[in-house]
Amino acid sequence: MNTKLIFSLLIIVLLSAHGRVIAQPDEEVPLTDDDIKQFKERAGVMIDSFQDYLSIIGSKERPKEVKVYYADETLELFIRKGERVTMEVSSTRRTYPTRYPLKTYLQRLANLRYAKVEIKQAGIYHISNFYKVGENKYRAVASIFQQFCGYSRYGDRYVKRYCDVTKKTIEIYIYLMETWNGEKYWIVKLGDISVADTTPAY
Amino acid sequence: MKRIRFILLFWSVSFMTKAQTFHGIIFANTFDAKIGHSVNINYNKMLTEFAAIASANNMKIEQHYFRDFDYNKDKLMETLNNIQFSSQDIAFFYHTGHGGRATNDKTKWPQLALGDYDSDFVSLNRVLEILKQKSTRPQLIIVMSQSCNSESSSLTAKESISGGNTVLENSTSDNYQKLFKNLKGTIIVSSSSPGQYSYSSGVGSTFTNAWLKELQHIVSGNGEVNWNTLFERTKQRNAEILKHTDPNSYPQWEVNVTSTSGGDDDDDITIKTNSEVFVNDLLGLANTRNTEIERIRLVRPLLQKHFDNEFVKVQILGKNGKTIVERQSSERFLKRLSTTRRLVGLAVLEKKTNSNGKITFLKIHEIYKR
Repeated sequence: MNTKLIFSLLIIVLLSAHGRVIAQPDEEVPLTDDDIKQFKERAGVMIDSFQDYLSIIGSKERPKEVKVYYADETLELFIRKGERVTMEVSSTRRTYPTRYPLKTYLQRLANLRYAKVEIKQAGIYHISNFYKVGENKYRAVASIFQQFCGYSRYGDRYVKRYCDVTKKTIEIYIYLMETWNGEKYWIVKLGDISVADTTPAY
Repeated sequence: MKRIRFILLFWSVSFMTKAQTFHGIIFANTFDAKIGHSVNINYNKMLTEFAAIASANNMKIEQHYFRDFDYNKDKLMETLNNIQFSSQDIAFFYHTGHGGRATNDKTKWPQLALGDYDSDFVSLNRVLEILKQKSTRPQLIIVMSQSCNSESSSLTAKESISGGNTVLENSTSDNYQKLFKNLKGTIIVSSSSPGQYSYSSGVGSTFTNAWLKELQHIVSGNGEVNWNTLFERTKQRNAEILKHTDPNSYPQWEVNVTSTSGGDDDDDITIKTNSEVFVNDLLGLANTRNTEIERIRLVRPLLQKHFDNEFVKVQILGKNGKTIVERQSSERFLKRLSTTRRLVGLAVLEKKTNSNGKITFLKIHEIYKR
């Protein structure tokens, strides 16, 4: 009995120690149009960072220490720090995309079997308007273009083995958090990433 | 460790050079019982915009920001008399507070109320004249007042008018640079014309908000990029906001600028240094000229140097100077800065320190390039 009580209290304390998502229908906290605009701009900064981080993590020239650090920073951009967030990947050599947990995707990206990897933004992203999707929760979708190229090495030179441009969509959420002492605040984070289209790039 | 100390020292000291500098000067009457809240909003918005202007023009920024107890005539005169420029600098003076005019004022510009007595009022035009008469005059001087320009019988006339108008010439470079770096001369503007009042609300003052909005539109490529167009559009927006309150209140301005032959900088926006050591260190942390490992290894030393502990609250504000778009611990904040690849400027909106000078709370706005 004591063990159960202690365990329950521990769970309550752990849940309260960090912010939690508000889920109380009669506790609407206002978010103005100007606030949403500010968060939308912030989301754009986060998307730029995400794309920059991927190019570091996929690079064969960076040491493991750097890649691990950047992978941790990447997860901070996402809801639940990337837990249960998924990333879809595609290839011109496959008919259907594959979906991975984000952490798994980052590990795979860091260990790709190419001699050289280049990942970069291939166009300007676009973020949709934000729409209310629940109590104290808003959602938008961003479209990004990502170029991926993998190279093999022959002596001193690198030969391109694969290159594509993929259009992806990223979910973006603005939601309310609450700290253990009842302080409420809005936060913006990225969510699941899906493939919209993949084309070869030369 | 030695290398890290060297990098820190390099970034703290090395850019005290003759880099082209944007001098932002703000005097804000944030203590006033009636308008203080709105003035504070103006203060934050303009501080943020100054950081953006400096970054977009690839200029180092020198901050001369005064509010609360520092909002007084002595501080204003001390600042204007002591400030030094190089010939390629830009000076932007912004006042937000009460203002007025004498019934026999010869100039159309308001007097800035820096205290309760007539002797505490300083003409906006006098601010411009002081800056123009510096031994080394900045390339471009802008003075702007967000204040009333209404008559008061208890005020006496101060300075007389001077200056004339020159039509701006357009150039084809980046829009912010078209308005600042590529120009020389003077601009003076007040939020209301002789005999008129200016207005504010819970979201700041109408003229300042209108000007910032139109500035953003124009630098985003929506319209002709010149100061007269900017002020005309500001006037229209201001009138739209005030049409039911006071349709007879409108800003006035004089633009007396010509274009320069252009700078010798690279086209890319890069990090330029700041006069404040703390901000300089943060910009050094974000600078991609250092390797990733060097930047990562700067986090802990900077945390110990500037912050009271790793859990100090840091709030990142949006461009409106109001919405908190991110909240982080000091450690998290520095780690993120150590990985960012596009940060070009920072504006500190609020900083609390303890008796050891370590930061215990920070509010900051970040400026990125895309």
